[in-house]
Amino acid sequence: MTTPLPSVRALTCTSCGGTIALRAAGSTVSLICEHCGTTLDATDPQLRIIARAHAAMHRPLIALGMRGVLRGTTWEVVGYLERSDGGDGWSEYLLFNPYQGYAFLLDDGRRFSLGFLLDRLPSYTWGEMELDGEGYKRFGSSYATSVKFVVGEFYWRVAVDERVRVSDYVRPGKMISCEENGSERTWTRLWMLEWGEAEAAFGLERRQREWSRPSPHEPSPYRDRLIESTIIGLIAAVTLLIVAIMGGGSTRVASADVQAALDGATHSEIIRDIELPGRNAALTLTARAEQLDNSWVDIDYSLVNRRTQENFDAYALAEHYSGSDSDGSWSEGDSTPSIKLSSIPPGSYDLVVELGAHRWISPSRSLYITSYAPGASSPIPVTITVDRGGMFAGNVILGLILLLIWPAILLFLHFGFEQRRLSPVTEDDDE
Amino acid sequence: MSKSSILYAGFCMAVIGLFVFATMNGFSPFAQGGTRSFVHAAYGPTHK
Repeated sequence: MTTPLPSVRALTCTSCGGTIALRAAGSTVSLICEHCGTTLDATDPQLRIIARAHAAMHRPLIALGMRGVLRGTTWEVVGYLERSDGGDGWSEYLLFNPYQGYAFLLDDGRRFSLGFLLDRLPSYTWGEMELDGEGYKRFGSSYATSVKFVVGEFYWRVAVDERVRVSDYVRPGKMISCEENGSERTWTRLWMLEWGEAEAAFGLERRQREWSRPSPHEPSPYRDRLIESTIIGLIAAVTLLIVAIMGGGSTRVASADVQAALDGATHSEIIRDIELPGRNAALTLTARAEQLDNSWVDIDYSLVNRRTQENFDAYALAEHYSGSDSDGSWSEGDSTPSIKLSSIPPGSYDLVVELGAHRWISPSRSLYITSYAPGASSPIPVTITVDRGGMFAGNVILGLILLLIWPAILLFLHFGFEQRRLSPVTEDDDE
Repeated sequence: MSKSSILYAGFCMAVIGLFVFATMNGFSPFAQGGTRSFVHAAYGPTHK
C-alpha cells in the first residue's frame, strides 16, 4: 500500500557544514553525513560527532532519498552500508516507511533481497530453524562481518569497522539471518526479489539473468519447469504404455512341425499360403526345438510374397547346452528363439525355412558333457510358428527415453544448481 | 505453464504420434529380420 511520507528535516553537519537530510526523525540514532562521511549523533540536538570519516565517500547505486514501491509499499532509502565477510562483499540499503517502519534491501551484486527484522524468535526443530511453518536449513558456519562503508541515517549506532557475527538459515526464496555482537542478537527474514523487481522500483538498469553463482536462498530457476515437464512426461509415458499394451496383441497366422537332421545336410521346408490381411504389420517367427541337447539348429527364414516375389530374410539359432564341472551342473542356450520382421506388407506369402542341426563336442577336456542328443542321426523336431502383430520392446524403450530425456536434463540442471547454491556448506562444514 | 513446457508437451505428442504410427504399421528400427547376429558367429556354450 502506498503511504504518505513525512517531510524531511534539514540539518547542518557539524563537521563540514553541509546540509544533510533527516528523513526518519524520532527513529534515527546515527546520521552519517553524505558529504564528508562523519557519523553524527541524531539524538543530540547539537549533532555531536561520533566518528569522523576516514574513507573516501562514494555514491551508492540507489541514492539516499530515492523512493520506490516494493511489494505494494512505498519505501524511502535513508541509509546505505557496505559489509564484507573478508571475502565477498555486499550492500545493504536501509528503507523507511512511517507506517511500516524499517526494511533492508540487500544487494549481493546479482540480485536483491528485501528483509525485515523479526519480532519473534524462530524455533529449532529437527535440525532446522522453523518460522511460520517453514523450515530453514543452516547455511555453512557462522561468519564475522564488518562494515566497510556507511552513509545516511540508521536506527542503531553504526560506524565503519562495526563487527557482527552472522549465521544464515536458508530455503529457496527466503533466508533467516541472525546477527550477534557483544550486546544483542537480531533476526532478519529476507525474501529474494524477482529479477528486475528492485531495479524497476528504484529506476536502475535491469540486470542480466545468470545462475553461475547462485545466492544461498535463491530458488532454482529449473524447479517449476521440472515439475511441469515431469507431470507432462509421466502422462505421455503412461499414454505410450497404454498404446503399447493395446497394440501389443498378435494373431497366429501359421504353424508347422518340421525336422532338422542332426549332423546331416541342410534341408528346406516351405510353409505355404500365409495370408497377411489389412495393413503393414510386424511378424514374429518362433522356432521351438525343445529336444535340443548339446546341439544347435541354424534356421534361415525367407518370407516370399507370392505375387511380387519380394522376400524378407531372417536368421535364428536354436541351441541348448548342459554339462557339469567342478562348480556343479550348468545349462545354457535358447531353444525357442524368436525373431521379428518389421512392417511386412499385406499379401499371400510362403515361408521357406532352411534348417541344419549340429552336435556340439567340447574342445576342452576340462568341460565334461553329460549327454548328447539321443540317437546319433535322429532328427530334431522343430515347431515353426508365425504370428502377425505384436509390439517391439525397442520401440517402447526408445519412446520412453525420448519422452523422459527433457525432464532428466532439467533434473540434472536443477541438482547442479542446488549443489552450487549450497556449495559453501559442503566446503565449510557446519560447526 | 512455461514456454519450454508447452514446447515439450508438443514434442511428447509428436513422439506418441510416431509411436502410434509405428505400432499401427508394425514398424521398428530394432527388427532382427535380415540380420545375422555376430554373437552367433561361434557356436557352443560360453560357460567356463
